[in-house]
Formats: sequence, structure tokens, C-alpha cells
Amino acid sequence: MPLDYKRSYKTRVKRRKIITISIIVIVFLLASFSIIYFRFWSKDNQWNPIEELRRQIGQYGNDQTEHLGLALQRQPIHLYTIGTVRATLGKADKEYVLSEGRVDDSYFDDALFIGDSRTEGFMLYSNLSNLQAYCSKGLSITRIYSDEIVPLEDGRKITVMEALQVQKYKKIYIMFGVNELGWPYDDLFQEQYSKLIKDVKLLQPEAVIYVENIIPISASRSEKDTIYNNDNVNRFNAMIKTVCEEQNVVYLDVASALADETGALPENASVDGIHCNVEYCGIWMEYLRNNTYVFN
Amino acid sequence: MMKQIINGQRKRSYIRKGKFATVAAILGLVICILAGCGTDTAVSIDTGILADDLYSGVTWKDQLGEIELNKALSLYGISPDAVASGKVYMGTNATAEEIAVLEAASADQVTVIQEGMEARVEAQLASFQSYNAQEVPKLENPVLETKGNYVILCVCDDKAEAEKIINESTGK
Repeated sequence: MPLDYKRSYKTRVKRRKIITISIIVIVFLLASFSIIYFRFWSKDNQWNPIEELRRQIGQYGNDQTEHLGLALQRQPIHLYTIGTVRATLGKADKEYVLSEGRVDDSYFDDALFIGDSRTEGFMLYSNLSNLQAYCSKGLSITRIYSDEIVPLEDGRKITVMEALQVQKYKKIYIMFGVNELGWPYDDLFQEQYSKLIKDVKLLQPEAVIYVENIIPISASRSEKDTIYNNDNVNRFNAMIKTVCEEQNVVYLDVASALADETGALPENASVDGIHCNVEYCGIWMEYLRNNTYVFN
Repeated sequence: MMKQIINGQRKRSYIRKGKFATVAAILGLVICILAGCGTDTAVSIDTGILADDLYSGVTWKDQLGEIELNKALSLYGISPDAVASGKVYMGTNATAEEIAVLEAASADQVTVIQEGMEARVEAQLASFQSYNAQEVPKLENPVLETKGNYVILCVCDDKAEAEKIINESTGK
């Protein structure tokens, strides 16, 4: 076979291959574009969650819109769902009644725990897989408004107060105070805690709100620490109780369940006198199971 | 004449192809031998026993508690499907001390688990820098090892003992 013919044959074969591959790539791109367009961008398709959020929030006026966040359930500790409208003002103050008996695990299916490192430890050591929490080391009644600790599926993080706009709960447990023990102004603490509770009630009007008081410090730590000591704990707990009475939310005396006869956290409950070990997180959990309330 | 030229070209072509094939075969053999030397696919670890050995053998400052595996995986951002077995211990937040021994469901999930562990260490480092700076050194230099399909994390001060226990478990 002449060489010229061989060369032109190879060239033709190569050209045919290039054309075939190009056609396949073009068809694939067209198919992908069509799927993306009709699935996500078509006006007839109501699944677009951002547009749905905007439509719903638009009913309440632009002054009530703040942050929009896509939320999907990602993990047991941090729970997110597709956003809903921001809560309207709650009903008139309700009366709480202590429930009889001990609740089982399912009681916490629709509960949220909000707190600092102590709550974080509690969440880890509880043997319940359905517990949900927004908590972080160092979180406080002021930083809860600014620290972006709640991760969204798209990688962004939002604050707890923003997250409370998009997911509703039937019970909310709040525990703060240990990171505030060094605050010099008592009235400032009460004002800020009151504001926090008011905002949570506004965002979660159907939830029973439990405010857990500050767990005491161990005696050995309390003796030598000018901030983390039981004098401060007792003073701040009295303020928390006052705030709860004024705001009509449930005051949970978790401290009494964990303290020894002197009112301190037992030495064997904690390594640093502040953070509870597995055993005492279990005692804490048991107290919560036996102290639940319903609206009257 | 033409035929002789063509046959000559064909012959040279065959000789070139033959040499090329020989070289490729030798290279492939060398690569396979080196790859075989680099992997620990024969490693077999009982994740629960190793985690317990680390718990009891290493000197700890904190009181560690066992964490339910799926809860720990959610902290690491690792899907439960990526993990065949595992055991995790974490501290009370008084320290950043932690043990995690995870077996990947398959070889291609090892990287997923490694990245999850690395992200966990980074997150803890960022958190403890302002919360309790004394914990930073152990988070900056944790024991994080991969043995075959197993990924082992140990955040502690007693690194030498942790590494010794891990090496003994893998027979190395």
C-alpha cells in the first residue's frame, strides 16, 4: 500500500475519532445544562428554597428579614432544616406545670440544648443519640449573638440566634453563667440574660424554655480562684432565678442535683473543678428527666 | 524495491515496539515492588482493644469518657458509611485530650477519615487557643497515624507512650 495512502487513511481515522468525541461531549453538556435548568432555575419548579424563603419572609416585610440560610440536617449535634419565616410575637405568658414521672429518651427528640463548654461535655457524654445542641467553648449570653458556631451545609456558619429562626423546637434548655462569673456589674448580667430569654421566646413561641442554673465549682478550685468560686456561683444563680421569674420561664436547679452537702461540686466529679465527668453528666441527665414541665 | 523498503520500516517498527514493551514491563515490575513495600494493607487492628490500650497505657490529665461512635463521627464530619469500626474517647473539656481509632470501610475511605481527623484537630486548636491556651501544644503536635485502613488519633502529652502502644499493636 503506498505510503501516501496510509498517511491519509490514518489522518481520516484520527479526524473521525475527534469528531465523534466532540459530538459526545457536546451532547453531554447540553443534557447537563437542560437538567440543571429545569431542575433548579425553572420558574415553574417550586423547590428553589431561597425563593421560597424570600416569598414567605416577604409576607412580613423587608424590615424583618435578616439572614437567609439553607439548612439541612447534617449531624445529630447540630440540626438544620430548610428555613421558615421568622417567628412572630408569642402568645401571652403561659403557666408551667411540673409533669409527673420520669421522661424517656423520646422526650428529647424535639429539644434543643444551648450553652457553653459544660453543655458541650454534657452532649458528648450523654448516651442519647437524639440530642441536639448549639454549644461552644466560651459561648456566653453576649457572644451567642455574634459567634458563628452553627455550620450550614454550604460551609457557612451562622449564629445561634440566626439558627433559631429556621428550626422550631418544643423544648429549649439554656445554660450560661460560668463564663460570666467574672462580670463586675450584676445589673448588666440580669439585663443581658433577660434579653436573651425574651429573644428566644420570640423566636420559639411554642417551646417550653428551661433555664438551667450554674453548676457549682469544686471546693478545692473555689478556695483558690477569685472568679470561679461558689460565692460567685450562688450570687449569679440568685440573679438567674429572678430573671426566670420575671420572664416566666422554667428555672431548673441543676446545681442542687450535683452539689455535695457543702454546696460544692464533689472533687471526684471533675478534673478541673468546673467540667463534669461522665458520671456526673449522667446525674445531670437524670435530673432533667425527672424535672419536665408542660404549659397549663 | 518498494516492498523491501516497507518491510525494512516494518521490521524497525517491530524492533522499536519490542524494546518499548520490555522497558514498560520492567518499569511496571519496579513500580509494583515499590508500591508493595509502601503499603500496610496486611495490617489488622482491633480498634476497640487499641483504643482501650491507649486509654489505660498513656498518662492523661483529664478523665476521658467513651463517646458513642456516630456522635464522634458527626463531630469529625465523617459519614458512618466510611467507617467499618471504631472507638473514641474524649475529655471533659478541661483538656483537649482525645483518642480515636477508626477502621475505614475501604481503602479509598482512609483519606476521608484522615481529613476528618485533621479538621477536628484544627477546630479544637482554634477553640482552645482562646479558651485554654495550655492545651495548644498537644493540639499542634498530636499523634495522628495511618496504618493500612486504620487511622489513629491520640491527643495527649505522653506522645512517646502513645506511639509505642500503636506500633506494638501493628507489630512494628
